[in-house]
Amino acid sequence: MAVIHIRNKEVQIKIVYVGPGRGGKTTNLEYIFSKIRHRILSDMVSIKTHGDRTLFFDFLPFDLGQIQGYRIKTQLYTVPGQVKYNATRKLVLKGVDGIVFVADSMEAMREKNLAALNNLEENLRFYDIDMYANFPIVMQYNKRDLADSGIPLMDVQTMDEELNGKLRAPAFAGSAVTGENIIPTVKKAISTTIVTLQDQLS
Amino acid sequence: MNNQSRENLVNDIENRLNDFFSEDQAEPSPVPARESIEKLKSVVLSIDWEIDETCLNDLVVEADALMPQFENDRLAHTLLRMLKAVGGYMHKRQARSHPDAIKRIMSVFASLEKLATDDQMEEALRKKLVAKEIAAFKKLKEQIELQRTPPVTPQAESIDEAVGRDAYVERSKFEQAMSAVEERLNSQVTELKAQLEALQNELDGLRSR
Repeated sequence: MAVIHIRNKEVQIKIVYVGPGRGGKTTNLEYIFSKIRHRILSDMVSIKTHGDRTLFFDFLPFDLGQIQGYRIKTQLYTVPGQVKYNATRKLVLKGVDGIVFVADSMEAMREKNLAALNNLEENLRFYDIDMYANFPIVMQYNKRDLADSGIPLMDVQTMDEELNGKLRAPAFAGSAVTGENIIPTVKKAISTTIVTLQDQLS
Repeated sequence: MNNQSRENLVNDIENRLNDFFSEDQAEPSPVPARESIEKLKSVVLSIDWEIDETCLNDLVVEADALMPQFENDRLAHTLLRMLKAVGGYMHKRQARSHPDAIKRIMSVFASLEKLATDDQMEEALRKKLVAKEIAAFKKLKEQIELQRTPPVTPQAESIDEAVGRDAYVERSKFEQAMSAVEERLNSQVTELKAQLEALQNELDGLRSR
């Protein structure tokens, strides 16, 4: 749940990027960081393993400025995508306010996308969050740039039906490597999270 | 939350996100000084209309945000620092602020606006304008310092009271002594009058013989 300092007029929101391993969650955050690094005071923190895989999480905090008199502090996290790190994923999801689900568009990743989504549902339920009940989620169908390399990808419509049929969340087809739709994804995630938070409070 | 409020909120969020993630980030294009102080101007005008915590906070935020842009303009930067300082002071002290603080904000902003918008202004005139603001700012600072001078300590108060009390005791003693002297003198005068009257009677008796 967001941290709200009424006295300081400050709201702190936590948005977590989840999805299958090697799906591009960290690359999403790196791209965002490269675009905003000159205007934020903080740095991006990544804790990686020897093989450059996310071991614990990536963390990118920044101050968005004021919205309706409240200073919005945003924290972006990624979780490790590998199946064996579920305890870490669960831990990072504690206090989450919004989710970006980064799905891998490669055909070979179809099952892993579904498994990651089911795992997210379970982990959120652990914190009494029903992700199908107006919880702020944004879908991203990543790696669309691989089509140019001849790698077979699932088409966006199929991915939307399989992953987003029940959720009906805002969705973006993008590429974290080229930056396509990365900023619109995070913008949508932040706005839906703040609006949902406001709905919950009013 | 009604639809209108939600719509306003969504618009505000989108505007802020568009600003924050705008594409000009890599090389921010220089904004003309006139345009860049528009936001600050609206905050100052809103303070002129009604002084509240949000406006004062916005003043500090806007002045702070403009600092990097005026980093190379030492005079404008000085005025911004003054605005930030007075705004911060008023935000902190609120109703207990010095009554001249708001006038300082208006005056400093008017000078800043002149500097930012009048490209033809001579350097000497610019310096004179800022020097005037600095002098007024220092004067306000001194007045605020005077307001803040520590109240008379309890010990000092007791000393004063003691001195006052002693003075009162001395005075009352003096009055008592004076009245005692007067009483004594009065009785002596009465005695002398009585003796004089007796002597007069004896003299009258002797004359009548």
